[in-house]
Amino acid sequence: MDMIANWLGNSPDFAVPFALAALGLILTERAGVLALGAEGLMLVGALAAIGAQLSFSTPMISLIMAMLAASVVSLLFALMVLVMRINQVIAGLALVFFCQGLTGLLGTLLEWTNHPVTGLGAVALWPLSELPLIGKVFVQNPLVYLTPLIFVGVVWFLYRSHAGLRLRAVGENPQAADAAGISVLGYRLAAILAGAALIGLAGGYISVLSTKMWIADMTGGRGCIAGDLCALVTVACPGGRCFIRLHRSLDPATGVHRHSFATVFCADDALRRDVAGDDLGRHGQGRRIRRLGQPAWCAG
Amino acid sequence: MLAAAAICGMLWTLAPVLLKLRLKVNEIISTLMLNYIAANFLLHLLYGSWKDPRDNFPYSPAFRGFERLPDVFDGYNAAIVLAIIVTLFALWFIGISRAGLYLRFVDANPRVADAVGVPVRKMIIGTVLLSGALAGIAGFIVTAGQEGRLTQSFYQGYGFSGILIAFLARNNPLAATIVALLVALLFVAGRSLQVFYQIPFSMVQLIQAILVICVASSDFFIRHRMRLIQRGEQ
Repeated sequence: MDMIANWLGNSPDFAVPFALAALGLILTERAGVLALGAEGLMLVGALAAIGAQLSFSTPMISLIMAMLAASVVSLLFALMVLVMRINQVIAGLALVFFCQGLTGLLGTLLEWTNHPVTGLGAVALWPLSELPLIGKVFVQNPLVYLTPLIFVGVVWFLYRSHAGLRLRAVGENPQAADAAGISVLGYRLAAILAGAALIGLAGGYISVLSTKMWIADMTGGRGCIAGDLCALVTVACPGGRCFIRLHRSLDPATGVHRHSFATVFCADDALRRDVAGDDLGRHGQGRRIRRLGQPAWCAG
Repeated sequence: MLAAAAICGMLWTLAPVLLKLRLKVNEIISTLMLNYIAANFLLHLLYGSWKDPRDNFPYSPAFRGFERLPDVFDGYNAAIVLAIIVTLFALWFIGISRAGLYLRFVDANPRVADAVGVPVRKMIIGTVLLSGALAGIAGFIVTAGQEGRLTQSFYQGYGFSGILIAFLARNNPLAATIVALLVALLFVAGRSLQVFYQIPFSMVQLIQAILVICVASSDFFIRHRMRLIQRGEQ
């Protein structure tokens, strides 16, 4: 029973970076930009957050710095993809390399590596945190509680606001959007910047609130998994996130052989993607981002 | 061992290519995820049954002498011969053979190629499997040639650098060999800089990324001419 309680209590901490990064990716991909650079942006966010945390030791400032830093670096991606019209896959991979190199270099030169920081303390939501089995789910750091709110905000923006409609139009049919007088490049730039901010926040969460120190390449593939998640979620598979949450958090709690577990997890993940893709091919046309990854040749 | 490596590399790419053709699963994401499966499976083996029984470190026992690639001449093992053979084969395959002609046709316009009677699906499956086999051989070369045992991170840096090299070489096999040599120089230089001058190895990654970004951007400036537009004129 204790094991299950611990497992449930650990889940949100593991899920939040995935959720935030996937949300950022959804924003950019809905605008038709294939963002493979999430891994790199997460690293930038993580490093910036640790830097700010070591200098100011205020988690709020650190997280904001993470968002800003990731946005600034994503300007480079935007320059490559929107202005230079470089193949988005190549640009994304180059961005990952760039960020890995940059963060590794800066982390070493500024001597931010392996310095533990104090993150945010856990806050208990009182009546809920006393519940028998699931009580520990409600003892989390504040950002965990904030995440659902961010989700609601982004969903509202995408589906209920005028700008969100335009953003989706830019992703689904840039030619038509351009003909309707929407600035395709402008919306894509905004989407890249906002998405990068969320991805950076996810990175900052990992370094300052979760691991509480900087190690080179610390995000360890989580950006890519977030990308995968995002693909799951975009094809209307709401179970995806919970699923990952369960998977990820199982492993420290149970002490199941870590790597064998990760293998199963990835296989499973890939499989789910395929199922989702199948669904998409047959009758998912409506929710598909048709112009994903294609440059907007019409605009400019 | 070479054959096993090639066949396994081939099988590993079979799933994404079939999924791509049958179910239109995005091959970028499925192969990215398969990377993690492979990497974690490797760790599973190295921490589990393939652990070196002598010192219990997570790498396989050292290969025996006959399992290693022999040295051609001092300090250079047979991998370099293999690389030359593969390059020549790729040159022949893409440039001269009938399959190469089909391949370029499929690349230029799959629908027209299909209409004219080129076996598009077979071409795609065949070439992807072939590239999987080559990637498998690359892994074999690293383990049997350089390291002499299966280690945790022997593959790191090769795969993604491979993509970038192919891009820098504009998909030309001969150019790819030259670019690969240059990138290898960069890596080796980076290692010795790290050892002798304490310059972090991430510098190499950074330089590589900047190189790719510059080359990719140069494309834009080759195809477009910049012109200042005065206000009012359009």
